[in-house]
Amino acid sequence: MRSLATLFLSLSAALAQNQPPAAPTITEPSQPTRLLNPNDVHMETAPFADPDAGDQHAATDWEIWTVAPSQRIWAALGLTGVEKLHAHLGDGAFENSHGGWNTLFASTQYLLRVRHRDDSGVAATQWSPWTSVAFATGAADTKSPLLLDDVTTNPPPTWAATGGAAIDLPSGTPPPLLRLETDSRWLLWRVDGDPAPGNRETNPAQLPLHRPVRVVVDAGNSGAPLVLPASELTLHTGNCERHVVRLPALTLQPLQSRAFWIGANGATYDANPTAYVPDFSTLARGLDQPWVVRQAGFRVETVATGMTMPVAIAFLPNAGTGPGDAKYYVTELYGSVRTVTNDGTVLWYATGLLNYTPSGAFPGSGEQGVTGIAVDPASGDVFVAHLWRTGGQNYPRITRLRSTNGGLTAASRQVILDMPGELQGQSHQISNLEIVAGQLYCHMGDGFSYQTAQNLNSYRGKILRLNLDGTPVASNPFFNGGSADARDYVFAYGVRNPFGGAWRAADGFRYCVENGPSVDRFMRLVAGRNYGWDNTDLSMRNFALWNWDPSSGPVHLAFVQSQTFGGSGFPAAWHDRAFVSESGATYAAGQQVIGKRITWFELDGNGNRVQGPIPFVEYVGDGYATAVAMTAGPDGLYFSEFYRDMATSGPTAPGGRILRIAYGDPEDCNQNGQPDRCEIGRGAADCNGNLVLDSCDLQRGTSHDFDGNQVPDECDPLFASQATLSLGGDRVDFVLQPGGNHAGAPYLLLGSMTGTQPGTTLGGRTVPLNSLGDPWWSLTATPFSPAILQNTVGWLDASGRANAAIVIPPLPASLAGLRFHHAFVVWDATRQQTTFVSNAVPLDLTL
Amino acid sequence: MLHHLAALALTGVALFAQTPVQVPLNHNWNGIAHAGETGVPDAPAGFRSISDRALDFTGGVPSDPLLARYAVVATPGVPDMVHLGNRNTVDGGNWAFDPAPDNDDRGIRPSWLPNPDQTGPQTTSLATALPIGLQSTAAVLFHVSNGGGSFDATFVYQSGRSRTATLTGPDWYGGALPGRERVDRATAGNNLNLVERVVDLSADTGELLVAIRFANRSNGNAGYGIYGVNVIPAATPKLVHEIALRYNWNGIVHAGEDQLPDAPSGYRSIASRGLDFRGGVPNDPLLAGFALVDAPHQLDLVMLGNRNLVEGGARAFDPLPDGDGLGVQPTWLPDPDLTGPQTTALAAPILLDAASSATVLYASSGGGAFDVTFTFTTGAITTTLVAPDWVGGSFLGCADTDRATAGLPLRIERTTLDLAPLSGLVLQSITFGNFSNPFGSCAILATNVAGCLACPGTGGAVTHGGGTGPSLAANGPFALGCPLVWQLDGATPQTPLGFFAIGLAQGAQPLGGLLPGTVHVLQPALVAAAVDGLGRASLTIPGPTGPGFCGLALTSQYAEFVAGSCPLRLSDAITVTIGN
Repeated sequence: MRSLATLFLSLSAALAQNQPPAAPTITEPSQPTRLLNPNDVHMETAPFADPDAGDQHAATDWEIWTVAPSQRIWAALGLTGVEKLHAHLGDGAFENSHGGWNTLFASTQYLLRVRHRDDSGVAATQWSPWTSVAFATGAADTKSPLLLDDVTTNPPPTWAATGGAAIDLPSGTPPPLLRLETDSRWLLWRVDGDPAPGNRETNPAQLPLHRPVRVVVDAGNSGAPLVLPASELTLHTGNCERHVVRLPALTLQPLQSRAFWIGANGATYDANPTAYVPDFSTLARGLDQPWVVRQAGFRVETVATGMTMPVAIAFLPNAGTGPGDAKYYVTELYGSVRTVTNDGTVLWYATGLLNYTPSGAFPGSGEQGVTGIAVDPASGDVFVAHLWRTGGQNYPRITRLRSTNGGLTAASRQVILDMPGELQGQSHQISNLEIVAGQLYCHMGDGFSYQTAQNLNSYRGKILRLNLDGTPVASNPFFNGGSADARDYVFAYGVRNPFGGAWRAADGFRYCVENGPSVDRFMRLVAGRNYGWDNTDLSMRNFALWNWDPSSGPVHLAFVQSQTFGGSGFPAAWHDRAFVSESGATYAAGQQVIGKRITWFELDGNGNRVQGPIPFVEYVGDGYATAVAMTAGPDGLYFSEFYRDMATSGPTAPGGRILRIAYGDPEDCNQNGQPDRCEIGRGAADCNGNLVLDSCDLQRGTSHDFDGNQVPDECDPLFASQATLSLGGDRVDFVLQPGGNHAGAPYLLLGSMTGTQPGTTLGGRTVPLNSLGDPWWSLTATPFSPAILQNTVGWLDASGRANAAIVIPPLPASLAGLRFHHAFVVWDATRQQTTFVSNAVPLDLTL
Repeated sequence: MLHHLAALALTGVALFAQTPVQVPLNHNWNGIAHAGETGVPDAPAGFRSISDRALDFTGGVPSDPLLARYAVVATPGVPDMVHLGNRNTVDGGNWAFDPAPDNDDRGIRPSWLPNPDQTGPQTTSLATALPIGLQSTAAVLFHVSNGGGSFDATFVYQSGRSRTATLTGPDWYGGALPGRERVDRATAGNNLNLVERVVDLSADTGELLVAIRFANRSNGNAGYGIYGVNVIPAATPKLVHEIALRYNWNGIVHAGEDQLPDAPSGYRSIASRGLDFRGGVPNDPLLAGFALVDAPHQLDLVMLGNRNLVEGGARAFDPLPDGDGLGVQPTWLPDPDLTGPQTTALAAPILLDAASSATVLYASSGGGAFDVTFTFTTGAITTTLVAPDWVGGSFLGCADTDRATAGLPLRIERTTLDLAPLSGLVLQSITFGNFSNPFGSCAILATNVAGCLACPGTGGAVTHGGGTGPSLAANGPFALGCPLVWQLDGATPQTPLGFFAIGLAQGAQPLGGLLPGTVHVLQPALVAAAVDGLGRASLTIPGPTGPGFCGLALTSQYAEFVAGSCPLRLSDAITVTIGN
């Protein structure tokens, strides 16, 4: 007891004398003059230092604060592992003014502070003092460079033609080369042409700092021009970030060079070879798909192409499942409705919905035509909102379209509501349509005549509600019977340009987004309510759940909710949120401070705004695409690129696309935030080398695991081609692969029909097959029939593999349900020992 | 390759970069609405919009990270921007000046505007020319009314060269900064934007920037307001080290080395030619700052390659002397295969600072790329340099392989690499390797590195107080080999009675009842201070280079005699300790 007490006292004294670690030295952010990418801030400190010899670095607290007001907005507390010295925004959580965000705000000043903790366990002295460094983020429309400090060799970087083979540079004197280097010319990766197949690579050690990077291609002198197709460099950093650098096709004369700066998203920009400050003014090769999701776990993918100014999307509520069945419809501003089938084929559902040839300026008179669309879940009929020209003026109407071929094309059309005399144009027109509980909601712009919004005898500046035959709903707040007029249709009024709307099942209300002169509005629609539009921005604040000030051009609104296609595959936590497409300035190029994004709002059960708008998907390209159409679909949230993005001839050029935001990153099959390739590269199991984690192979059904050992069967030492044998006569093929170190050794494939436990000792090793009184063991141990047991005994080949098979004749049906197991052993004849025992593979006899 | 950061121990990496210089622009327009400048459209010398709107600084300069980086004018009644445009024609002439005051939104032409037509080049000449370096940029802050557009910013150098960049901005409406509207009345209005565009000047390294010119509006219907230009100048290196490279080849032809292809320890070409220094090292600006080997029979370059393989083996050494152009393998060359890494360990490690760079002189037969690796006590960086074939330059050359007869002129490459971001790291060795051309060869002639010298311990500055007026500051690095600088401010302008006291001993001797203040420099040496008209002076001690000076502490304090009841004014004292 005494010695224990002494030890305890000594320990206490030692702990009492613990000194705090030294304040960390923050090495990144390292350049106060550089504005940082608000989406990706590298935070690093120098290694832990402690005056107490032997104290180790246990953990690190990282915090980011806004300067004004002084408020902590992000924290990653108690990080261990590599993150003790190097953290990213994804390692922590946003809070307070940044709650719900996944990025920092643009153009904002911040303070990073860090402290280290030692492993003494003494609460009073285990933490170092805080160290702080100020930094600022760049504007949202500022291109951020790709910042790297390393290219990891595991997984190795690759350079391949787009959709094609690896780039193999020719040899030469000197040979061509590609190098990835920083703005300070520090080398990250170098590839030299080589006479042998493949290239010679140089991959220096990790750099001390993250720096902007560029890629340089030197043609060398191979005796001919260096001709390279469009290609991608795919590389990973040490902390598993994956980057794809998109290089344009190149033709370089001997000894010629080209250099490219690399944007944060992998687009490349022409670089002056002798200048070293990143320059993103001239695009070399942009992004095929220029949208990024700001929330982990989601992806954006293109699902349909070839549209011209797609305005709105509506899904068939009861679509067929065949690849050629209609899945959704898209209105095109200049007079068409497109059908998109399950396999992504784009058809013409209806054309000529405008009785004039549309034209005009953008922004301006060109922005009018066909807009809203809704599908009747009962009949499959399609309702379209559009303008119709009479006497040289454009007036709104709703047309009902009917198909006779399963919804692929419209066979007939019927105008259900015509509103002559209600002059409209230039986006302040009839717009959103939605069918809720058999009633059609129709949003009407004020036609640039604000007085109409307050005039119940005008259809304009209203939210209308009608039956599917075009008659007003009798329960409308101003319905007064008699011959139907505008007043009968009014559900709510006093709006200006209510382009977006959607029904929220959680609270039973319809919501709306609309554009004001300088201030936009998001509001809940209440029957009979006057929203007060009177030609002032101030009036746009009436009943607003949110105002965009300045205007961001909200266009469409959608709710992801379980009542709509089960929640579109989004996690339940995301259900009942509002998503808004914000188009921003008309036909604006490149990423923008305002608009060209989709944001989300969280509303409470009563429809009050809890948080938002928070960026969800943002445009990061260099082209003209912007988000307009948006609706919740069965497998994600769909939106449209209203303008062709790149290589365009103008705003009306064809080439608009439909994109889908879906939950689940295909490259992160176990959804742990780590790309699968990275995990595999870092040692996680991918026994068949298909770049999919073994566990994901099994979960997704690309592999089977009959023996239940959590390894795909094709990777087990013994692989059976099937799990069952038909009693009518059948064959099962086995692959035996104990490994190359057994090459040339004899093997014997054995079987048992009495199970695997307790097994049988053979040559010093236990085979997982019972043998006692087991006739199948006896038969397989003495290969009784070469017709039935084919190559079940033999020698492994030079790679340590062998193939065997069991072919059974028709057997009695009474054997159905019997389970066989097989395993093989490798034998060392010299030492008379078993050197390898495989797994046991089950095989069930079935009728 | 993946290396844990822990292995990189970057404890010394300093966090400062070259500070941008806010260029005082030649303002020609009072176009920001400051307090007191609104609601008076006809004020004779007051604010005027460049179109119909203006930035709103009536509540002071807004808190904005972009604005915070520029020297924007915060006071009313003075020109506060460079205007590129014509108020009488902007926006189709809608906002032309009134001929006489009428209290409508449009004011009369103000007295500070001699000519409303400011569409021509608007030039600012710099009072102090700025050196341009590897990290140099110019950031321009501006906005454009009436639809946006582009204009040219031209950076004029002392050499007569210039660089022109076309800068583009969107329409000014709807940004993040408060704005005013109604032309010269400047009532509260919608927000406006400001755009920052950065021009890369690094390709003009070595130039001196003397003027900035704005011109060539793309939108003749718009007004352009330019509010600031920030230039990041070149950092001035404090100490440049000529690296004593571990030469492995005698490949420059010096006097007495020609015509002796088989001399056992003589000159050998790295391929078929050699630089001709028989008349001495050329006096050429490209070679300035380097002490190239200027003596025969010495190793004089670092060779990368294999002489026996260059040009497909056509230049392989003769097995025996035979008098032809190909010599025998010389005695100074144990192994002709020099394709592997060639490393020079520095005799005195160099402490990198915020002005650090490395310059390499090299040439190549056949051309190709090679790597230069700088290895620090913690970590390393590698740079790939590319050399074209050396035939066709301006330096005298020899041919005929080892015979070294007069040949075609050759070229030498000079590349400067930026090491400033690695400030605080200690450079220990330089390695050349990975030459790309298997049939070529490469000669590294010289390398220098700008930086201080490393010490075993850390350096720094400690302030002791004791001051009664003037302020004293000491700016790092406080490193071996680099000057130690104390900077004085707040002294009596141009006083002849000010001096710096400097000494090795530091204590505290209050002046007690006689005078306020405390003297901290014991047994000082006195240095007269050359105080300028703004009350500023500096004390610079050339940095000692001997390792024995590591840890040395020097304390300085400023004192001046003045008239009055308190005749002695002291600054605080600052002790500087030499170290990393």
